[in-house]
Amino acid sequence: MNNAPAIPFHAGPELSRAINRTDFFRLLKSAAQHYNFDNFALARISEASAPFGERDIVITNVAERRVGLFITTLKEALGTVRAKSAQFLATPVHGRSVRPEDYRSDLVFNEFLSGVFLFIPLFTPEGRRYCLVLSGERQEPDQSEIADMLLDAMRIFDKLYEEILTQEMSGRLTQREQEIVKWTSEGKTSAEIAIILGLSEHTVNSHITAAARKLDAVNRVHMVAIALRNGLVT
Amino acid sequence: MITETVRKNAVKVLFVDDEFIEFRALKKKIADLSEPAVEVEYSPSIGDALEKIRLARFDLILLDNRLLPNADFRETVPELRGIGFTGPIGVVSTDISGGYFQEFPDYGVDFRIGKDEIDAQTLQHIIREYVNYDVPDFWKDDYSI
Repeated sequence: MNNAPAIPFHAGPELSRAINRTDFFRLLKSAAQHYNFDNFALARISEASAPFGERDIVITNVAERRVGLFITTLKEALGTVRAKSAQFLATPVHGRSVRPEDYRSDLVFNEFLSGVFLFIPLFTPEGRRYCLVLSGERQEPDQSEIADMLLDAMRIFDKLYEEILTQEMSGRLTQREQEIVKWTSEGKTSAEIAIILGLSEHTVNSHITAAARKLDAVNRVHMVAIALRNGLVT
Repeated sequence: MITETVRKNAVKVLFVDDEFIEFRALKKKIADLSEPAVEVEYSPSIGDALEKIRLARFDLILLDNRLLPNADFRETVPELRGIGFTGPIGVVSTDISGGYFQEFPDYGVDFRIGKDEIDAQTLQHIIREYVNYDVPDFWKDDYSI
């Protein structure tokens, strides 16, 4: 009889198979559930609106309209000092949000109140700072659980870096991006390129966004101009 | 400047699966999802799905990987793309561990997901990611500007 504990979904083969943002959503959702948290948000640390603003969130399961409240409650749970110094944190911190005395639950419903928040700092090899925030109604995690969560978060983030973040930083266009820039240079719209290549408009727009970022272009026309000048399309 | 898509109507999802019970299970799992509002239609085959797509607009297709007689996404998705469907397509399957699943972007698939992983939260993510996503104004098809 095999008594070995089953490998959780987020640490098993699906981790090595992850290639797009939805795959990472699946992994992070599974990791949050595994540790009895309800919500998660992977975000870039922001110096301007520490620890991060709504636009810095990379992947989350918090509903769009609840994100502002999620961040506000996170700041309360961590405390002002720790929240503002998030960019300097190297190890995970956690806290519980407390219901203010004058809080009127009939005025604003806040599902994050009274929940535990765990803030895990993450770093790319170039030193760019991200974090994974988990929240939920559960006990405060002990040190060994935090160590396990940190390891899991680092493994998922490492894969995300390899599959998505390095692609974003690389200056070289992929074959698909080159193909799409070429069709754009011929005056085709995203919808037309999607039909030509048998892709979704979403995929085409993602490739155009990535190519524009890599070429440091401000819009499509500029992107085509740079691509022509650099001989990327003829 | 970011233009946000303001959706007045429900997100229309076409669920293609040869087992009707899977459709009922999906409806039950996403019953809690109110924001955004979602309308799910059912197709039992790829032929029926092609007909439905020709007649009405769908924002998202959730496609069972294996459809009768023996087609998987490598055959069915190019058929959907072939009639000009440029919306997002997600492949749903009980088992997505097959090596060929790693090639899904090459066949016009936007994402893959296990059947048991779909719930209201995941569908909300999918809609946010693939249906209601923002495109900055200056990256739009702006040849006329």
